[in-house]
Amino acid sequence: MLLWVKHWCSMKNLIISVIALLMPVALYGQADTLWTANVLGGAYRSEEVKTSSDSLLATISSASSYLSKDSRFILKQYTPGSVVTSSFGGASSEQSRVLWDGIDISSMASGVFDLSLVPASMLNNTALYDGINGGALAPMGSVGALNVAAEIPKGRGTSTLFSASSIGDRGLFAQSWGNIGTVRYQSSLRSTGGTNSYPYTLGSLNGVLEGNGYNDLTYLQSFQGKLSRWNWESTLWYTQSEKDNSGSILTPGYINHLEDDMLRFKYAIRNRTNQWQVYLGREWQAYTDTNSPWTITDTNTYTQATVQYSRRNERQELFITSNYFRADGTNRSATAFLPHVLYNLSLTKNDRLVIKGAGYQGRVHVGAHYNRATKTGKWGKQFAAGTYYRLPTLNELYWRPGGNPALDAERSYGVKYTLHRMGKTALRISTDQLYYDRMIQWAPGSSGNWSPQNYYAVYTSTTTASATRNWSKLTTDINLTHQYSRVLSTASNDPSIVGKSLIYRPMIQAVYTSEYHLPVGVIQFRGFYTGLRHTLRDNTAAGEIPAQFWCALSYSVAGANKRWNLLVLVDNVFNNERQYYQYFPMPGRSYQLTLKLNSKQ
Amino acid sequence: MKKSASLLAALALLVGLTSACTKETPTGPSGFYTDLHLILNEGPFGSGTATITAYSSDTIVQSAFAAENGFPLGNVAQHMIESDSMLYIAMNNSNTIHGVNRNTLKHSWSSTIEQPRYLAVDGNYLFVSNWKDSSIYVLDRTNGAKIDSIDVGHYSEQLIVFNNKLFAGIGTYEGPWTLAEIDLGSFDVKHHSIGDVPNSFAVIANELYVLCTGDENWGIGDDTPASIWKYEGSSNGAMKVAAPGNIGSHAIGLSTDGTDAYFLNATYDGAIVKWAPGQNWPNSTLTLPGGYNLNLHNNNLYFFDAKDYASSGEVRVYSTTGSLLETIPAGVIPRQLIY
Repeated sequence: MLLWVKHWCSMKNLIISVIALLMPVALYGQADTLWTANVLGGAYRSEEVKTSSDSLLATISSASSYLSKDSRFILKQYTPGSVVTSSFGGASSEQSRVLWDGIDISSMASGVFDLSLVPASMLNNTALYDGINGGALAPMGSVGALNVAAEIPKGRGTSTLFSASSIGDRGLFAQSWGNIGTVRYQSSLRSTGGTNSYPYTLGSLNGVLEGNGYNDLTYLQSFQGKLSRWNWESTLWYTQSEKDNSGSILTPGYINHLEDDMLRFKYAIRNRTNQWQVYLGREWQAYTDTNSPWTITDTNTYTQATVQYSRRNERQELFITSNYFRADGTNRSATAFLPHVLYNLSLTKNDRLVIKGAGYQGRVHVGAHYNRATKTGKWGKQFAAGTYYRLPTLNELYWRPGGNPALDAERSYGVKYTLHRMGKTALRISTDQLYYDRMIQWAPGSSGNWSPQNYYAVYTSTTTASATRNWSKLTTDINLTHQYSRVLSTASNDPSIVGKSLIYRPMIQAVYTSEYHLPVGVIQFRGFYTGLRHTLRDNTAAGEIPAQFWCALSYSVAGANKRWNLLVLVDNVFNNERQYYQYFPMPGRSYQLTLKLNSKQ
Repeated sequence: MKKSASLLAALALLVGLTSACTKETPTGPSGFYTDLHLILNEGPFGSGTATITAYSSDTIVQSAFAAENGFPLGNVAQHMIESDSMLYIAMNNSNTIHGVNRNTLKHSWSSTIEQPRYLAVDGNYLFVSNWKDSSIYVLDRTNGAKIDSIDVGHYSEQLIVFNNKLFAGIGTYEGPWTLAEIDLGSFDVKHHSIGDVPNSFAVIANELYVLCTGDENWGIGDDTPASIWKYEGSSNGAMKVAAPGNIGSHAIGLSTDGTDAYFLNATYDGAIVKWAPGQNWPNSTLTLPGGYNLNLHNNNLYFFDAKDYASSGEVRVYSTTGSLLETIPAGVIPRQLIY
């Protein structure tokens, strides 16, 4: 508690300082709603299908629960609201990156990003870069990327949302946006929390899950304006969360507690061809574990400062980025600089080439990506190939004990082919084939310490097929992802691992959505399937989590020119057993009510 | 006739109720698992379950406990002992002690003890050391009921009954470390000085020896070396009889055939070394490293290889001269064998 209070004081001072610095610029700026999206990824993005229910839930959901409607998104979490590790299309959590308007904001300390702390409202329908297209654009990752944005809605207004569920979840979202003089602004506050108290049945085990409460708060403040010929935008993004984890149902009475505070600030200024972005991020995290004779408390901080200059015209874009990372705390104290250059060239109307390079830990890493996209009538196809790197994190390099400063970046080589049809009946099939060399794995070292090593050579294949059909009142969408992986060799060529698939990857994951517009309201059915997963590296039956299926039914209705919206959702309608980690059961049937009130548009 | 029928029915009901309420008890020497060796596998930490691998020269059954009982053993198995056709298993993270029929692996009872570590049996008593408080708990080994507790002043580790006394290693990875001598009649406790991190006991030529791992700080602070101590009696306490010159040398898993001792020369990644009372600390190894724990039975050394702790391990059987005799596939993080 003392730590938290002390930390909160310093975070508060930081927030006030940033706002104080921001205000003069805000007051003298001019509004400009033509802040165009980053054009770089035009050929690389992958659109999603968003239903009425999705639009409403996106306001209050976390990015992780929202993205579960997409089979390319591989989710792992203990209970609803808990820490989420995730990946996009066959990668590991460290290989996929989260960007904010093109700046890589995934932690270079842990390598992962907890998407349970990202509001789904920061995802637009082109946020996901799947497969090696993500590897091409993410400065530090190799496969899959998610580009979040804090876009200010058009016009002016306010919006307020309340939600509650039968398993103790509560949510509040409030947003206002409009003009202050000539400056556009938005302020939003999102708070969710829950007790996660629910009955479970898992095979012969049953009981009531307790001790997995959580709460989080997100505050977002954006301003946009114009200074002479320059558009500017500043955004403050603050999250605070506390999460308990009671351990698996085989470990009753075990509680660990995670507190996380993250302050992010980004300032961008841009004219027709040039853009400067400054990003500052500061994270404070405390982890308390009571599952041992000692109460272990790890307190870690992480700082990122990034300056990015980009220049673009119709045929080419150049990004020059300078990153500074610092990780302090119980188990590491390390600093790193990472200069990064990314050049995107349109060779012809259909052909693009990305070349990127990074300097990190005294080594230079280079990646290259070629993409050819063509269209014939309603059909489009895309072929891409390239080589990518995933840089080791500060934890992997300097964790005490066991960090390995000699660790090299992972190297991968991949090809991608996509075929898609546009129109009322939309079809898409996309496949990524990758070979990884020197994949990083933590393994017991000769000194007895666990240590990350460039350990594996691995082949992975990810194929996603989707079909969407629009009738006048009915929309259906099915998307299915198939994954295959094999360890080709290890440093020790351990026969119990070579030839096995990578752990935690379901072979098949599928989501089916059907939305029907009734005379009053919209009803939606969504079914989920996640195939068998292995939790052990030797893929033995002892480490299998069985395939799981569940479905959700929702009804939404709006009135008074959409000034009020109501959503009733029944999750896991048939009370199916499901788990992402062994012996951590997810909820059975539960009910959720969401009410959103909008000001007059 | 009617009365007789009623009496018979009542008797049948009584017999039925009695048999329904009776807990699984040892059924003597017969049972599918009677002649099988049992390997205790810790299982993945946090998520997943411990398992028991049952094997003989022509049979191997993985996850035998779950197969027999329909529910998992629990999270992180720490120790298992056999006594009078019963198995007693300490589940560390699950805060549970299981009583299990040795011959059938059918579950008999469970008792809740927080953070249990090691077990020892004497008469009707089952002793349980733990990492949650300073007590050694005393259970009724027929049903797991808590009978008593013995305050030893700190967290307790390995236990052994020797010369009608219970000995316990006191302290975990943090000191102060002592050797506790407990009178089995009065439960009076006497502490003796001992090396850092007492790890395992062995009775060699009717003398009690204690292997201490030494304090291991993983590069963050200074280490202290491993050491072997001999118990010299209640008045004299324990005396150090061997130690390595290098403070970074550590050791675990003291085992004996009654004459010589064998142990692993490192934690998590040790090789087998041989030592006998009166000798200096051994520097030559019998095997390659990679051991997580070591047992000895019938002149065979059972070397537990946990591999990468995220896939199934194996047990390698060596002769006392270091020749590999057999390799047995085990579960995740194998740590102990019941013969």
